[in-house]
Amino acid sequence: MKVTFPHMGNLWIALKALFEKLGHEVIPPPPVTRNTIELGVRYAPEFACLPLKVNVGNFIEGLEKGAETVVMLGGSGPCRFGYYAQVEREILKDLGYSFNIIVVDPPMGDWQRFLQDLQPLGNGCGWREVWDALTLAWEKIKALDQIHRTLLKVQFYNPRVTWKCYDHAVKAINGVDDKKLLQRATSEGIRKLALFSENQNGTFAPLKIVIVGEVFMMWEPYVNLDLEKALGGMGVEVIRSAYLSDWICDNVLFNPRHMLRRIKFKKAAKPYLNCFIGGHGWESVGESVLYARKKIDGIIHVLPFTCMPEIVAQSILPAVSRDYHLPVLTLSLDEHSAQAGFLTRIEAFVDLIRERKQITA
Amino acid sequence: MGLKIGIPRALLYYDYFLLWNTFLESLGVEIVLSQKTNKDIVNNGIKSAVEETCLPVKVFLGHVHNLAQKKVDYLFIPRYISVEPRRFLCPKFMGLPYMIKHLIPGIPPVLNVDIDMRKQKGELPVEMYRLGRLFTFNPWKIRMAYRLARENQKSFKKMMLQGFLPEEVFFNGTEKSKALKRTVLKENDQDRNVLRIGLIGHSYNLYDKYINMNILEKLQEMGVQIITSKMFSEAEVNSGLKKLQKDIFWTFGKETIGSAFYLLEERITHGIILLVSFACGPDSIIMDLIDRAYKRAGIPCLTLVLDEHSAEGGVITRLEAFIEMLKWRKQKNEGYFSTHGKPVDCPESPF
Repeated sequence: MKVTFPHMGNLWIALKALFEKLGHEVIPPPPVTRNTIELGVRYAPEFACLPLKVNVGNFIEGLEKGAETVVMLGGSGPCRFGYYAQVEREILKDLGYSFNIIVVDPPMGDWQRFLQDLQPLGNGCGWREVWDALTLAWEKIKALDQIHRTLLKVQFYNPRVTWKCYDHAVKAINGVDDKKLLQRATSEGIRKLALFSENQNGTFAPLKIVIVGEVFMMWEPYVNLDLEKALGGMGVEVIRSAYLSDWICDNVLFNPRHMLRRIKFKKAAKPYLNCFIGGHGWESVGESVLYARKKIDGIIHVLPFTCMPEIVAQSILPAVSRDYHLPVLTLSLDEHSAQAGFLTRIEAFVDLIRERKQITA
Repeated sequence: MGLKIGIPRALLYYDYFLLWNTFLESLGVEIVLSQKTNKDIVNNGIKSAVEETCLPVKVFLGHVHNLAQKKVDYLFIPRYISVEPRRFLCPKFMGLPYMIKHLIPGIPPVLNVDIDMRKQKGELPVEMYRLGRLFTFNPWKIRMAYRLARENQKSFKKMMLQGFLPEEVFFNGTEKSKALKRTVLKENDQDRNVLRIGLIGHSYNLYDKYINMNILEKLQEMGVQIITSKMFSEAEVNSGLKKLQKDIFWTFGKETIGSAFYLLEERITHGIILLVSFACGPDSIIMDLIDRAYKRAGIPCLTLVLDEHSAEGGVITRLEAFIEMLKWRKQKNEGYFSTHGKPVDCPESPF
């Protein structure tokens, strides 16, 4: 099968490893560009959120490149994401593509249906091979997140070179298909990046800004207009509040350490928002409060335009900001967001924080 | 004199007011409603809401402002998580009480009620009992109030199926209310000359005259018979849903898409109008699915997007054009519908 899938940050590396191990031909869509978004905007519903439009663009580009099967994640609501795959199928059908879509919907107790849905992806492999493929992909996701974490800790020293190192490490991880080699590539990448902080004498204290919000917008650099890189260039240490590996630990593996963390953020969010509201809304509020208690200088909240859970979070975050005396900037992004206006806003925000810090210090 | 409790005349008011009203009034509570939606209410709502919020939620905030001025003891804003198994309401409803607390400072305290029937159906009585205990210590009284409320809600639902307007049912009872006369629809041959149109949307858009710019009356004035998405029984909606590959997880979404697909299958209307509020999350996806299905079947479908900037003139023009088009093609050819991209005159594509 010729498989394609939507882009989300570096996810494609892990998915490529997974499907190649299972013996499929993988055709990753070209990286998200202006063209992708334009395609998505042309064919997707008018006020659907940006991730859907990017997905549609990815699929069209992937299918044009010769893919036959589209793999997409489903969900159980109430966020729109759970119904994405259904709309995307109809859109592509109306466009006249002949393709096959495999939707990975959560089992919701019906494991038989779940396995049946996934059967074509198994490609007749035995359980052992499937396990190997899954663990390799999982290791890759963890490795990529680890490298990205290291990058964020050092990028403000020298944005240009650190990002080069990072890209190099990502490329190396993409190239390996063995767990041992993967480990070596990862530690090599991390070692190189860590060198940047060792060379410093520790006198430079950067501003710390936490990014919270909707995960797709946090993780896909093209749609958030390279927010992290831009902040790094201004001498800011960026902390990403959630990584893909965290999400998987929370929602798929139910890792005990992460469950404890979840209890913590729920407790922190209690005075502001005390229930699940779909998507990442609750997390946005809870993590903001948790980080606000630590020594950070500001929060940037990113969301796609019209995102339902994040609008609730956006309405509540000013209260968090007031209570903890912490500046919060909300960036609602869509296909019309332009780099210049965006940079101006971030620069102003960073300037404000810097002034504030000098006054209070 | 009992406590005064304010209920905003917006959002789920159009679905559940009778239930809460009966329940609370039989416990000796005085209910205060906000005014009907007007310009001030909308403006106040817009001022306090986050810009991207959909119009109905902005209007809701405006109603809360309005109630805050009326000196009520409590506001009644339940948190609707889910009203049926396996389905949610919109995420904004789930966070609504919290949003209001943080967006509008200085409002009366909000009664904390959670409606979550996702897993089991028994949840509601427990929650209603908890609510009832605030006003009376007599469990028997609460039980009777709950029963009465449930009965009323049931008969209200029946009346909605017959096409009565919710507000008229709330305040006038059935005798004086006007119905949209759904019954005629079933007997297809009785009235051949009348245009029939499906009006698909959420209850708070369909029945709030200010938000929808009085679309119901306008259509009736144009001599059109309307069937709204609230006039479909559970069975009809479910039969419409069979077309979907994946069960839908929004209650309102289920209603709209189920009724639209049912209409499509039974072919009892000449066209449908989709009433959507701008930035409505579920609808952005669901209305697109409906639109695509109608286009494929060749039945005209008009999407009216409502927001605080919609002007009455533009809406009338579009409605008139749509109705004209339907009438025209009805005279020309009973079986042929001009749809998107095809001229009315030639059934075969000229290209």
